[in-house]
Amino acid sequence: MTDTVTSTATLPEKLVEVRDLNRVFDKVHAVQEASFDIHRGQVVGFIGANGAGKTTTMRIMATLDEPTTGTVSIAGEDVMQHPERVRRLIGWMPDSFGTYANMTVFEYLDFFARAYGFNNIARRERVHEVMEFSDLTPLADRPMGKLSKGMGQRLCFGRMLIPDPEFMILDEPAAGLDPKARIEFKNLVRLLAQRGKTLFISSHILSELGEMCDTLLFIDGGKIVYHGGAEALTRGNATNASGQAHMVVSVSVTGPSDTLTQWATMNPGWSVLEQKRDGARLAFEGENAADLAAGLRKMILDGVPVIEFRREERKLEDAFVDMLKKVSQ
Amino acid sequence: MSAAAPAIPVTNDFADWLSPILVKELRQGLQARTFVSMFIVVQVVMILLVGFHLLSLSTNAGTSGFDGFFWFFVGFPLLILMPARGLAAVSEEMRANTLDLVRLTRLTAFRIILGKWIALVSQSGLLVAAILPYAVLRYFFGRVDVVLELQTLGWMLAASFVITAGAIALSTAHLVLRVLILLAALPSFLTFSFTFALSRAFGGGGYSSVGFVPVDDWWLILIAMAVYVVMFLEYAASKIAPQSENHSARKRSAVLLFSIVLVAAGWLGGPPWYFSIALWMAPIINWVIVEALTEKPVLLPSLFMPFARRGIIGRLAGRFLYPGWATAIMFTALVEGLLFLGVCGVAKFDPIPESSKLAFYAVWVLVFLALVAPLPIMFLFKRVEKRFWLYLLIQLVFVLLFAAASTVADRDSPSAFYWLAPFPASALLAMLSHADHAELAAFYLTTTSVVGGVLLLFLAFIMRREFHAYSMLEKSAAAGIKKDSQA
Repeated sequence: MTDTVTSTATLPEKLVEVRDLNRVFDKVHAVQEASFDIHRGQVVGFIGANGAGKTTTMRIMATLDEPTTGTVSIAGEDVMQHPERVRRLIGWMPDSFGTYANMTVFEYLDFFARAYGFNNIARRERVHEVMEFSDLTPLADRPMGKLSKGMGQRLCFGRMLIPDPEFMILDEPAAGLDPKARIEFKNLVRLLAQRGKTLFISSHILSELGEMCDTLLFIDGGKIVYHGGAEALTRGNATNASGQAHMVVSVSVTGPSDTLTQWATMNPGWSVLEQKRDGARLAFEGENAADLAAGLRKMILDGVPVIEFRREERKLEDAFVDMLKKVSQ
Repeated sequence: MSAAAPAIPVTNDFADWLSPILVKELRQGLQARTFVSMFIVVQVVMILLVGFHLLSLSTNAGTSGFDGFFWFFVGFPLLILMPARGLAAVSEEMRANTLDLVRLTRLTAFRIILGKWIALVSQSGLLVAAILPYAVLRYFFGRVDVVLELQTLGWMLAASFVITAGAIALSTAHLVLRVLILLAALPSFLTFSFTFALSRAFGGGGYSSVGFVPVDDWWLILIAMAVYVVMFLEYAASKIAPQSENHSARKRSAVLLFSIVLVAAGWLGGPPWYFSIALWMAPIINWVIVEALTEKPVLLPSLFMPFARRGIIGRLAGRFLYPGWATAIMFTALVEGLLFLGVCGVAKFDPIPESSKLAFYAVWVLVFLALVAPLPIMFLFKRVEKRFWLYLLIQLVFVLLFAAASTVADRDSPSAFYWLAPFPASALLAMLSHADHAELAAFYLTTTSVVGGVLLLFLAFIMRREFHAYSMLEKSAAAGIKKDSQA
């Protein structure tokens, strides 16, 4: 079942169309009947657990693997019919990339510029532009083998930009990066989005994808289970183990937090998620804000010394887990 | 970005027209520790050898020992060390996960492999260029035929080119296979080299005295070497190419070309030409046929486009050249037919004795049936990915059946081999070992033909389904071409 939340009425034209995509490896059905669209200029996050089928889907889109059945077209070109035409439109950044021995950062980018058909001055200019954009200029003469993980990812990102692709596929680009490198990477994505590029990014750091992406795609067991915006997910209610919707509130009290937790245990509709020194995180089984307001009123009238009461916005990770629960039910 | 950041280097080390992969490989290769150390060691050894040579001249001692060591230290890096670097050419990229990135550029699989080969042989060429002064210097010490020495060096370089191409082809194979081949090649080379060096040291012959290659056939050997280089590189390219590149058609077309050359050689040149060329080409022809017969069909519409574009002739050619075992049967029959035509030409110069004619025809029928016989058995092992090895295993079983029959049979009673008739490969071996027995030939021609007929009918039944799929894809490709031209 696919939960599609995006309204297509106001979106720009489709750049990528995936229809009934299946990929079977021996006995493993890695991708099952996946169908989705990506519109021009969108930044789309692709979320799924390890082995969910993210990389397989992305490799098919990048013409590096062939689907068992189904079609993928990019700017109207079928990846199976015209892989060479599709390759001119895409940039691919794998989750890990090997280094070349005895090669500097500049030589690496120069090689790819040559391989993409840039000649002479055009090549030098392109390499220059990419190095400036990816902040690789200070590393120009550094051997590839002596780059940190973050620098390596930046170089891989720079290499992907060489042919100035219209559509970029990035497989776990932020994996293994330190916080500073992650922020740098996010900035690069933002810059590309501002330039109107279309990006398809997979990651397991869901909160980051939520910030960067216009749309999210959840994949589980090879099936697309959600396609829509991050806001629609974080605004929605969480669900408990039995699949019932609930809101999460953070309450601070004066004095020991036992008063609050005892109250929550005794009152129907409330439950304790986490007890803290000065309060607790509570779950409230309610449908809307009015129910919650009534609950707070009762809490105060019952003598709980509340000094702070805040409804928590749902984390994307929680939304993802809830989505998986919903699908498995 | 800080203002103090270093400027981007402007490199003019390699011209624009050079292949990108060649530039990359040279940039890496010339700085590689193996090449630099090999270059230095060869220089030091050459200086020492020339020094000892000079000393021996001043003391009137013999110099032939130095010749042997000179050629050993030339041959070892050229024929072993430099080509051995090719063994990691593709595997290293696969391991490092860098090949996908290169495949997404404008470079085709063949250009990638060709670039790697040119880079390696350029480094071998550089090594030879560095050795040349020492080879010429030895001329001034006397007792050296400099022309023959340079010729030998040239042949060694050419052999190095072929071995390097073979090593690159092998680099696509499993590590165990690569190690086994290297272990097999190294002792043979060392044994050959030390025997040669010792024979020179103690007054025996060698490259310089007897010549490395019989001069009469040098052009044939050069052509054969070039063909082997291309086919090795094509093999390596086919292993890294996406399925959308039809390397099967290229290899099969090359074999068809060789077969046509053989027909011409048979009719125009007679036995010496036909058999000389056939000897060189046989390994390639057999290898391509076996590879084709063990291919899985690839039903990608883009593969059918070039054939559909050429109308009926293109589609007809596709029946022999599309990847997959079904077209491979047609291709095998065509190649065998052409080779038979060539032999008929040879028979014009050197007629086949009437008594051997039946055996001759039986061998041709059995060869074809032996080639296709493992296919029905392979259908039972659909899940096996290494179909090439499965095919060889089945053929090995047939060979063992023949071996078993031979151990119990009486040499003069071919009837002991009759039971091999349902197994074409075993029957072929029995026929070849009893070519003078017309009785056995007649039995096999009738019995094995019946068995073969049933086998071919079964294959034809399955092939029909494959060809139907091809027709559908040809139609879809033709529609795509029409749509493109309208656009």
